[in-house]
Amino acid sequence: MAWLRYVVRRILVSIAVLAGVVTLTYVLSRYSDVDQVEAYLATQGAYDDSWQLPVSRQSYLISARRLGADLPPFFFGLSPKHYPDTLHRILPLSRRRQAKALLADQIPWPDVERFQRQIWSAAATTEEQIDRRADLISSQQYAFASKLGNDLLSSAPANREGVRPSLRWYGTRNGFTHFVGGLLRGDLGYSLQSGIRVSASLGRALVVTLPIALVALILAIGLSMLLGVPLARWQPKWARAVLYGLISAPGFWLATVVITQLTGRGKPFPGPGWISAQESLGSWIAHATLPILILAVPAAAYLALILEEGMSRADRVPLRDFARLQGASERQVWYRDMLPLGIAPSLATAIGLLVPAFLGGAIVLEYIFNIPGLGRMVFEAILARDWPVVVGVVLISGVATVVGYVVMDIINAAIDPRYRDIIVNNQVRA
Amino acid sequence: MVWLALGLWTWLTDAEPMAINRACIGGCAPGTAGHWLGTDGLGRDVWLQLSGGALPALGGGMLAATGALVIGYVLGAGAAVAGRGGRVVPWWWWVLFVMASTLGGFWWRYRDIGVSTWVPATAVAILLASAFVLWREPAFVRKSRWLRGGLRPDRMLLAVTEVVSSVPALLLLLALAAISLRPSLLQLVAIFIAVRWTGFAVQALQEVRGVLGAPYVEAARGGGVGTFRLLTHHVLPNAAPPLLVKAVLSVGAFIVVEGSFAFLGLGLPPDQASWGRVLAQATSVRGGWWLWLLPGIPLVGCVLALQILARRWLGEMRK
Repeated sequence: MAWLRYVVRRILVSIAVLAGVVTLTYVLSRYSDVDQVEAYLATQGAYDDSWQLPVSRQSYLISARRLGADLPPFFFGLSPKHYPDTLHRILPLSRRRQAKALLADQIPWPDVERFQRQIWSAAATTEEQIDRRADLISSQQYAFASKLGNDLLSSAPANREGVRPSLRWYGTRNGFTHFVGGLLRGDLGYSLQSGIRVSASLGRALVVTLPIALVALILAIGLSMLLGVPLARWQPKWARAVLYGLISAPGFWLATVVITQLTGRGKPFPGPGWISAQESLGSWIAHATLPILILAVPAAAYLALILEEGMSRADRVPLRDFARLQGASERQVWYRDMLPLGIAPSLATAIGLLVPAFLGGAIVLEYIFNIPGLGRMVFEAILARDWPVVVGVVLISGVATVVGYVVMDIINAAIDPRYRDIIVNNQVRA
Repeated sequence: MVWLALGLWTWLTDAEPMAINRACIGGCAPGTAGHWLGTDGLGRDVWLQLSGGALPALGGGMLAATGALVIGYVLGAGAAVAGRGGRVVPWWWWVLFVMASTLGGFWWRYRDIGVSTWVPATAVAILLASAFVLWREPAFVRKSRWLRGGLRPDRMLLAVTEVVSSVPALLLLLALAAISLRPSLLQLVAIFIAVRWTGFAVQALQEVRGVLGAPYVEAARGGGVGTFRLLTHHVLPNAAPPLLVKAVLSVGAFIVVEGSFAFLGLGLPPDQASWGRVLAQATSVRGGWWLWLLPGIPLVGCVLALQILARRWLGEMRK
């Protein structure tokens, strides 16, 4: 019964960990310098042929409010004293960046505000002028460019004193709650590249990647047991070298070798590409086999080595002799009694590590084999600075990893009775 | 084993910082004439790329592994020592720590503008004062029930590491893209350290805990060894070996990571050699077997050598 209590506590801890992951991803998403509102509008087809943005201020504001671009970063914040309280409400984002740059020169906010109002109101009708103004970001540059800028510069303090922090309270309606609220509702935002809802594209990509990862995982576990037990039992010298070799080969190298040698015309496997299982199961198998093998085989080798280590550690206990005395055959002893002992301390953690490893390895594999899955999606999103998609994928993998750990701990505790003692005594997981 | 180590060293000493882009055979001219190992699709000599790529891969790997080792070890050992026997760090210290780091963060973020000196000064003062109070444990802290309760530092460290390690290698790529699409070697090393230190920290925690419970530590204490000497001469050296093994394996991991990034096109700038980039050409050049076979040798070879080294070492330690 004690370990049931442990299970509950473990799940609570993982929820806390998930909260941490969510916070981390939120912080990361706040750091991008892309104008999310503009990108969103672009995907909605707002740009015309000359790549200008003939969008009225009104619709920009509406989209910005919808995306939460005018919300403060958190419940409270620490910022320099001379910053205004409502910095986060300045829109469009280029104007906000400009304000921040001017404030950095320690120009008092009222002067900055006046300056901005003058230049932005004149350009209210042509967005082109707004862009130009946003290019000049330092007050020196402005001084060079216009009389207005000169006046601005003169209001900067002659000798800069140090900036002092002030703690500001922003209230419960802020970017963080907006983000979390969206998550709970299942809304992850919109892709900056395509305008599709992130949750939709994630779903589609998962359908491709998940079967591969699951099959590879099961294959790796099964293969490792098949390899590991005889390895522990007979300890052939050459076997270790082979296994070491398998785990040393980087995924992308294996994949390249395989692709050039085994795929293409006249060769056993089809070239890079993808057919979904619903269309044709045979084709899916043909396309998926190689990536699955590339994922599973080195992982199986790694697991087999760990398994063998665990079992030889278990061999020190006179369990084997004891079981033999009771009449079990050698084979029975190895598979029934020692295998569970060998699994728990190290294998389960290794499996818990495999989930993130497979997701990471999938990126390279999907890139090489041209599979439209999660890995390739996140890779392309990173190249295109498509943060909502990246954030979504990070979240999913974080969730998957945490869930993987918990499941493995539970299975561990169920298989190996010693593990329950370890856990209940609150020692560190091996 | 000696032979394998030799192989490692050959690659290291082979690193010549030569320019790779020889315009001599422009375009795609694969062939072993003149170039012993052939060229890649753009006419760059493979041999030069392979030898030039050794330095960033291995050197960066060692740097990265050392960095992760040091950070993880310090944090893990510190947590183990501070939390030994269920010792608790009082809650007010955590609060002060958060305050100090916020002030420090503020100073770091706005340091270009010029922050008043009292900001970082206060932060440092808070840290020093609280460290002093913790160390000496004056009577008022011990007696007051209110001031004593707190959190175990080892559990906190574990919680932090779990959060950080839950986000897989994707975070690597993320951080990469956040900084610059083509990072320098140091940036790669920094990202690698930021992701790998958790493994070292968790293991360091376990090991130091184990060592602290060992009889020889107790004996040394009973013999009158001071705290500092106890730590540096008895505890740390004995807890270190498994971590050093892990560090060796991490070098291999860095080689793979750097290679993967170069392969994907996210790695070092194009004027620096990298094994992964040679490999990336393998699919684009028709029939270019030397483009995947030859880089494979150093890639697999180095990682393999490191693996064998580490595992033999581990085996010796176990006995």
